[in-house]
Amino acid sequence: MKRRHLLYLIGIVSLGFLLGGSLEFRRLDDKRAEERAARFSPAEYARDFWDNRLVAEMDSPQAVDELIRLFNTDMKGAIAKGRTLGESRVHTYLLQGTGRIVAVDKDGLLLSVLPEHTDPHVVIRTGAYIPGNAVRDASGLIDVSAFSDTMKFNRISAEINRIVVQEVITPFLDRQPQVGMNVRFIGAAEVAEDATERIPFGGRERHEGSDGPWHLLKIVPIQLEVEQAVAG
Amino acid sequence: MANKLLVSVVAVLCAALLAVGCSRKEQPQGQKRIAVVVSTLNNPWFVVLKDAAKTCAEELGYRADVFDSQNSPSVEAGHFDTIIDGRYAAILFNPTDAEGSIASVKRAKDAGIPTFCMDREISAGDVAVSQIISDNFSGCVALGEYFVGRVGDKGTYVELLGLLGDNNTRNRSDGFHSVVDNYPGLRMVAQQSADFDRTKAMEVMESILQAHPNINAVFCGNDAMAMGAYRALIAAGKEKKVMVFGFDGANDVINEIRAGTIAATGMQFPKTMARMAAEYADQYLKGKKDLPQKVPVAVELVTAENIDKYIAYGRSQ
Repeated sequence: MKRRHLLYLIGIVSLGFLLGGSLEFRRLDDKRAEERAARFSPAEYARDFWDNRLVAEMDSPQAVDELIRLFNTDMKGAIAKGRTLGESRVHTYLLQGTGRIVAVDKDGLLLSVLPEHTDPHVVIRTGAYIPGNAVRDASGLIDVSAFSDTMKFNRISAEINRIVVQEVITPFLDRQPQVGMNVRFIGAAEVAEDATERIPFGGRERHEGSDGPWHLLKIVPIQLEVEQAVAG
Repeated sequence: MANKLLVSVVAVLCAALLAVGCSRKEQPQGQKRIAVVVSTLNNPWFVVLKDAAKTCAEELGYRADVFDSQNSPSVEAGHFDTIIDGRYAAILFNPTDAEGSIASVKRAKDAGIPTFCMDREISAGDVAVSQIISDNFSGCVALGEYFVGRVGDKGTYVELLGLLGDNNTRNRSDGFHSVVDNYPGLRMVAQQSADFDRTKAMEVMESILQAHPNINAVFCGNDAMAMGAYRALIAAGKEKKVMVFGFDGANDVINEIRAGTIAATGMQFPKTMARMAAEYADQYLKGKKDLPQKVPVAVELVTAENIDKYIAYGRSQ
C-alpha cells in the first residue's frame, strides 16, 4: 500500500517536473490589472485626470510675471523651476496670473502681464486646436513609466488638449474677449532652452533691420476668465 | 530496501524541481560581456547607435559583441538564444518589433539577463529593466507645426510610413497628424509604408507621383525615406516644387537642409540613448535596481534657420 502511494507521488512529481516549464502561475490581481490596461481608454483617463487629479494642483502654480522676469535675468534659475520629461531641453511650467489683453487673433490672446509694460509677454492659446504636451507634463501627475507603450501616454495628451478646447477655450471665446479687458488664468507652458537664449520674453525677433514677431511665452489655459472690463 | 530506493528517487526529483525553479546561471569568470542587439545595420542611423553602444560598454569595462537582427524578429530571437546560452551579463537592445520582441526579452529576463532598450520600445512595462526611447510624438508635433508654417493651410501631401510593427512609426505619424489634421485645407493624398528604407521609399514615391503629380509636400517617417523620396522628386523634375520633411538627423539630410533642398528633420540623439543604456546596464549590474522604466529623449526640430547648431546625429556644440 505504502509502495503504491510512493509510486503515485513519483508519478505526480515527474508530471510536475515535465509540465513545470510550460506552466506559468500568476496572481489574479496582476492578471486583472493587465486586462484593465488592455481596455485602456485615453479619453476616460484624460477625463479622470482633468476632473479629479489636476484640481489638486490648482493651488500651486507659479506666478507668470515672476517666471518671465526670472527667464529674462537668470535662465538657469528659471529652468530649475520647471519640470522636464526624460532627457530634454524643453521644460514645462504650471502658471497663474492676470494680464491685460493687448491683441486678439485666431490663435490666441496677447497679454501684458507686467503692470509696468504695455507690450505683450504671453500668448494665451485660444486657437481651434492645442498641440503638444504642456498640460500633461507641467502637472507632473502622469508618469510615462506607468504605460506599457508610449502611444497610450501620447494619446492622453491629445485628449487633454481636446478638453481644453471644448471646456475652457470655447466658453471663454463665447464671451467675446476684447482689447483692454483684464483676464485671470491658470495654464501650462512649454519652454525650449534655445528660444530664451536668443530673445527675452516680451522682445521682438529681428528680421533684416526691421522688427519681427514678438517672442512670447505660450500658455495653454486650464482656467480662463475675464476679470474686469476696462474701456478701450 | 525498495521503499528506501523510492524515497531517495522522490527526494532527488523534488530537489531537481526546486533547482529548476530557483537556479540562475553563473557568469563566466573574467571580463563580463554585453550584447548589443540592433534591428538593422543597413541604415547609417543604426550604425551610429550600435557604434555608440559598443564604445560606451567597452569604456565601462565590458566586452561588447554586436548582433544584427536584419529587421527580422526571427533572426533577433535566434540572437537571444545565443546570448542566453552564452551567459551574457546584459543586453543593449534595439528591437525589431514592439510586440514581437517582448518574448525574447522575457526569455532573457527569465535567464537572469537584464535588457535595456534603445530608441525603440517594446510594448511591455515589466520585462526590460529600462527603455531609453526617442520622444517621437513630441518631435513630430514640432515638425507638424513647422510643416503647416511652410506649406500653408492649403495643399496636398504624401506621408511615407516606416515599419508598421514599430511603435516609433505610429508615434511619429500620430504626432504629425495631431497638428496637420486640424487644417482641413491640407489633404493627404497618399499614405504608404516604405519600411524606413531609402530604396523602397524612392520606388514608392515614384509610383505615388504617377497618380499625384501636383503634390506640395512629403512627410517621411525617417531620413532614409526622405532621401529616397527626394531622389524620386529629382528624377521627376519636381524637387523644387515639393517640400520634403524627414526625421532622424542623418548626415545626408543635414547636408541637404544646409543646402536648402530638404525643409526639415527631427534630430534624434542616438549617441545619447546608447550612452544612457550602457550606463544604466552598468549601474544595474553593480546593484542599482531603481532605474526608471521609460526615459523619453527629446527630439529637436532642425531647419534652415537653426542648422548651424546641428551636425549629423547631434548638436554641433
